[in-house]
Amino acid sequence: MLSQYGPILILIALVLGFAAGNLVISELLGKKTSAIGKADAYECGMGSIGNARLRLSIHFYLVAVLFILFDVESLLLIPWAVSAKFFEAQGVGGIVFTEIVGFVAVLGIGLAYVWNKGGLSWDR
Amino acid sequence: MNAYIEQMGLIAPELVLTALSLFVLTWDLLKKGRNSDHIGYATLVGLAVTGWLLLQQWGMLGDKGTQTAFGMVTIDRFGTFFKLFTVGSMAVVTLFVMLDKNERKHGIGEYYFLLIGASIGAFFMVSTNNLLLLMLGLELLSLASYSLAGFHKGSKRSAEAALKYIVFGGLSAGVMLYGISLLYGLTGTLDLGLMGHAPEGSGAVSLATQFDASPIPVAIAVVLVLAGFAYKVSVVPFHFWTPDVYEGAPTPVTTFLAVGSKAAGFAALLRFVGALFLTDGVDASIVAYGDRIGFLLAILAAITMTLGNLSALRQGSLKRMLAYSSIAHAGYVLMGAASMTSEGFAAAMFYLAAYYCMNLGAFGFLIYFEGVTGKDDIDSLKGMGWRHPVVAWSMVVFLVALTGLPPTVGFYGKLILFYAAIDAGLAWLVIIAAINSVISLFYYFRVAKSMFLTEPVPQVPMRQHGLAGILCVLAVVTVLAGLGAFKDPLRGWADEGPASLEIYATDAGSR
Repeated sequence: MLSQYGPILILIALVLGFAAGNLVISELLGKKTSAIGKADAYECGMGSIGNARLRLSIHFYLVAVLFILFDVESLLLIPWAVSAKFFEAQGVGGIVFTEIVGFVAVLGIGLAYVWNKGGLSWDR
Repeated sequence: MNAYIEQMGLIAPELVLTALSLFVLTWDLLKKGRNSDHIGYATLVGLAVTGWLLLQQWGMLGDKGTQTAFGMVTIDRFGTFFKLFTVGSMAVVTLFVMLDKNERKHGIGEYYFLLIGASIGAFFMVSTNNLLLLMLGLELLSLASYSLAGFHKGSKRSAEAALKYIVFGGLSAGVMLYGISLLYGLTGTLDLGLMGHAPEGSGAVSLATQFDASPIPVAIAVVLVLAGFAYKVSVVPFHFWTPDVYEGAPTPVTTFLAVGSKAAGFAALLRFVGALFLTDGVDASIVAYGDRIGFLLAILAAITMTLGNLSALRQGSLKRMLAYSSIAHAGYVLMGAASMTSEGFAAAMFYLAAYYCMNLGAFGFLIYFEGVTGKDDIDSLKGMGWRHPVVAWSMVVFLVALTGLPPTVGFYGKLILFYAAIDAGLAWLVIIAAINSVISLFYYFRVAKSMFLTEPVPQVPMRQHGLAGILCVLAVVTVLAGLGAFKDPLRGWADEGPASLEIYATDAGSR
């Protein structure tokens, strides 16, 4: 069974060999110049300003997390809406509807919680 | 429709807990944090209802045998045993939160919400044969625990505890998921029962068949999953988070981590090992491999108890000492899993039940002591025995039980663990465990010595009658549960566990 992975090993060897080979060849054959511009993070475009480790407002993270919360909700609701007719034909429409109402209710409590704690207002 | 309601009835305890968690959160929101004690009482009532439902379920399972809900949740006596103790420890932790004078009462709704969420995770974790649901339960338990560890936002140590916990937890969850994905790739199923024994036409390949074809991938997968469990129960190579997290987290949370979370991890570990290697119908080739896994667990148990005990010797802080002691106790419980017999599993379950009583008590004492002095180092205990005799004597009972001396439940738990290990041919492990018990005597009784044999330091006398009462009750339970009239029924309940997992009741040495 392990021998099935042989081709993958060959692929890994080829990829590593190709990358290492290119580096070695350019080191051997390439022209070597040194200038101030070479040491920049980007050889073209604007020079970088300031430190990369800025302190960002926690609101950005909060918004990202809240986005996931409601995004997942809509992601589940769409396939549910598409297949609702199928479930009704199976005679389990009531159960499936109750379940989705429960799901939205739980998320609704989450929304009420966030709203009440001021997670939705930017300037707090 | 009726079948649906019936299956919802099987997970009624989980549904009640979920409703309780939402209720607690909403109520706190409406009350804007006032009347925090009422939320505690509401939580206790909800936990009592859950406990009552679980007792009904325990009786029902005796008549009907193991039930399955939605093809995912396995309701058996093994799981219900652990759920009952999770609810019990949750109730005690809730009381601790209510009575803890140091606990910030702000945001108490979230506190209970997260604690209840953690128990819901533990509930699903202990009652499923499906690796997907097991992983979900474990993650729910872990995510709630991470936030709880960092609950004191202003405290640097609390934040450090949460960060360490989430980094270790994320890594080991990844390792475990990798193992699960390998198992799924090998067998084509996520169901532990089918992995152990795949009947014709089930569409799955049993792990034994794959093991005969190529043992290395199977070995890697099993060891990776075991590593995930080992992290959860803080077995030695994966224990580094334990002391720092236990120290930084609020003490009631530490209590829950040391008791509820650890027991849930052990339940999942026992179920995993049992289903793959020990149940009826498992093929012979994998049973032989199971013995090697048992040997691996035995080595881990020996290292865990020795390292935990030796580190506990050097601790100045009572909280860190209890953290290392909980690592050492993970080693003792692992002896039961390592013996790979139904007796060993039952002994591990009994010992976990004993561990609930004595560790809840020891951490309760810690909360009391922190409330009195505001410190957690053993030297500040001086004179506790004379100023707070009731609480101090309760602590002595817990220390005796943790050491494993008669007449407490700790002694009897260790005794049946040792018996099971000797029956499984692990006499060397029992010798190491016995030496470790002697070592632990030294550091447990350092606490007693500090309380009784040193001059009291002047301190503000402060009494917490509620907490002292709970500690008394726990101490009485710890002693009584070691005596015949209470010990034998408890042993009977623990024996139901392996039976409901359909593990062979083997004679000594036949395997």
